[in-house]
Amino acid sequence: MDRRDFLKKGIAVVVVGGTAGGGITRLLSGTNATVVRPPGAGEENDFLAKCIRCAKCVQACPYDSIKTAGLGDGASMGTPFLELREIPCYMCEDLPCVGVCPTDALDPTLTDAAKMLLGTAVIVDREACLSLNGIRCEICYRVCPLIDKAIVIEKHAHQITGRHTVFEPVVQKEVCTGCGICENACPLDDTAIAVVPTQRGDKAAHYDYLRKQERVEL
Amino acid sequence: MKWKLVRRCVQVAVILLILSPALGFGIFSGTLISGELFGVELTDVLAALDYTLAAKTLTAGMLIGAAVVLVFYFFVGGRVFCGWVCPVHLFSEMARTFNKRFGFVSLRPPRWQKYAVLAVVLVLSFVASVPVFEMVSPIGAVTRAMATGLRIDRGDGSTVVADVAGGVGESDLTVTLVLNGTLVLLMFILLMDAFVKKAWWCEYTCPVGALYSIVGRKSPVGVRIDHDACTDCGDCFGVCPVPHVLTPAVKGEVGWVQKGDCSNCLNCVDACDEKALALRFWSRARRL
Ligand code: SF4
Ligand code: SF4
Ligand code: SF4
Ligand code: SF4
Ligand code: SF4
Repeated sequence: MDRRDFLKKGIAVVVVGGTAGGGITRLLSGTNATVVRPPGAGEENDFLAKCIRCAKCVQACPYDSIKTAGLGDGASMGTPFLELREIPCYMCEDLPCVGVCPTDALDPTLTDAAKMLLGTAVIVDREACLSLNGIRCEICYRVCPLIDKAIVIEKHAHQITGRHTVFEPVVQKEVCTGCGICENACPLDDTAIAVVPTQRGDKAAHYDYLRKQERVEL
Repeated sequence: MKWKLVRRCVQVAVILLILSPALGFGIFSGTLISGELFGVELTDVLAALDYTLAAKTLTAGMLIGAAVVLVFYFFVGGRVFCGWVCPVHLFSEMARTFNKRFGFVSLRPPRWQKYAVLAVVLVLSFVASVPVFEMVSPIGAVTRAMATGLRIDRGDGSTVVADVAGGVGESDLTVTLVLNGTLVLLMFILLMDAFVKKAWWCEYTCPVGALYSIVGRKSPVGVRIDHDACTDCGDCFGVCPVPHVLTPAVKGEVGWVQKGDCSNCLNCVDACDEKALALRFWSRARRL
């Protein structure tokens, strides 16, 4: 094969392989994923570009909170993610996951766990929440590491009985770190409080005024 | 047989190192994509390249980690990574032994295939802004499974990654295979090895092999041939995974086995009854 021939073949391979590979890459990279990423992860596309799937963060987490995404997990292959209902992030003071990350996929300037943002807790089932039914549950409030800051209890009259008080857990979006300890602790079979990941796609971002605001300093 | 034994010990030692945090003597942490040995950060050269192209930034710590690896493999021979370190290569070597009897389909991939794959990976990483090979890498998948897949069953349904020896004695040690998409690629590779073309992945397709092959092209360490002793019996060709590197040396044209594709696995040195082949450092080589 002479040089010309080689060049031609080479270019053909790169073009054909690139096109085919491009499709597969998009398929596997799942940029629309709405999974919870480890502390310090930035915007999803930026995270996907930076994470080299080394699993150092997975190994470093003392609680085994971080997992590696496989084919069926709906996230780019090999990337780290958390399933908070199973194991939440316990907001380690020294953030070992961030510390071991060899790339900047997990932002090394994040040193305070209270400033991380995995997502935001939301009461996803107001019908089911025990507290909203007038029962003294408030477990999510009690377990929150940022109790009275990230979740507060708002009291109001029980609309049905008229003589009892409802102790409603209300998440403060500006403070909640999305650690998922509340989601993990909710005693219902299907949790009534869940962390919505930071990544919610373009439409959500467009309407997401709150996230553009300054986060509250504790 | 002598070198093969040494090499197998090194290959197993590498696996033990990756398992070391789970086994309770964490001198190594991480994977072969990025790891830390005795606190020194080491990053795979292709991972660093893919990252740089995908993220379009330079990250100093990581580049230093990759530079250490690069210098090491330049000196010992680039594809020493393949022959001595990479667990995929070890498993592939096992699978290859079936090929003699079960190699039903024949395939002749071109030599340049792996360089083409490397080029595609680098271009794609840049265009798609994702470190493409690390996403599908069987090396990543298998070392991730080793690094994080060994778990201690706590007995209450939950599991933790085994990290201290203290916990192991009391509970059952269970190995959870993290079966994900990239391990499927490993299975595919082993099937190709056994039934189609032996070393199809390692010698013809793997972009990491391609990159280290370029890195080792001018390496000072290699296999030297003594033309007077060589009887042209061809035994070395039978055991070499990349026999084309032997051709010029055995033909008497050059004094070294061609560097680059050669992984310094030393199968040929073991196989040569006339002791015509030997591992040499350049300064000790006789002049032809
Ligand atoms: S902060 Fe701690 S618990 Fe949370 S993901 Fe990192 S290592 Fe795990
Ligand atoms: S340590 Fe960083 S690069 Fe490695 S898997 Fe975790 S986020 Fe990705
Ligand atoms: S996720 Fe739940 S527990 Fe964690 S900070 Fe937010 S409200 Fe508190
Ligand atoms: S723990 Fe669950 S049920 Fe109880 S108050 Fe919180 S969300 Fe409602
Ligand atoms: S030439 Fe020898 S050392 Fe090199 S790959 Fe072939 S058998 Fe191994």
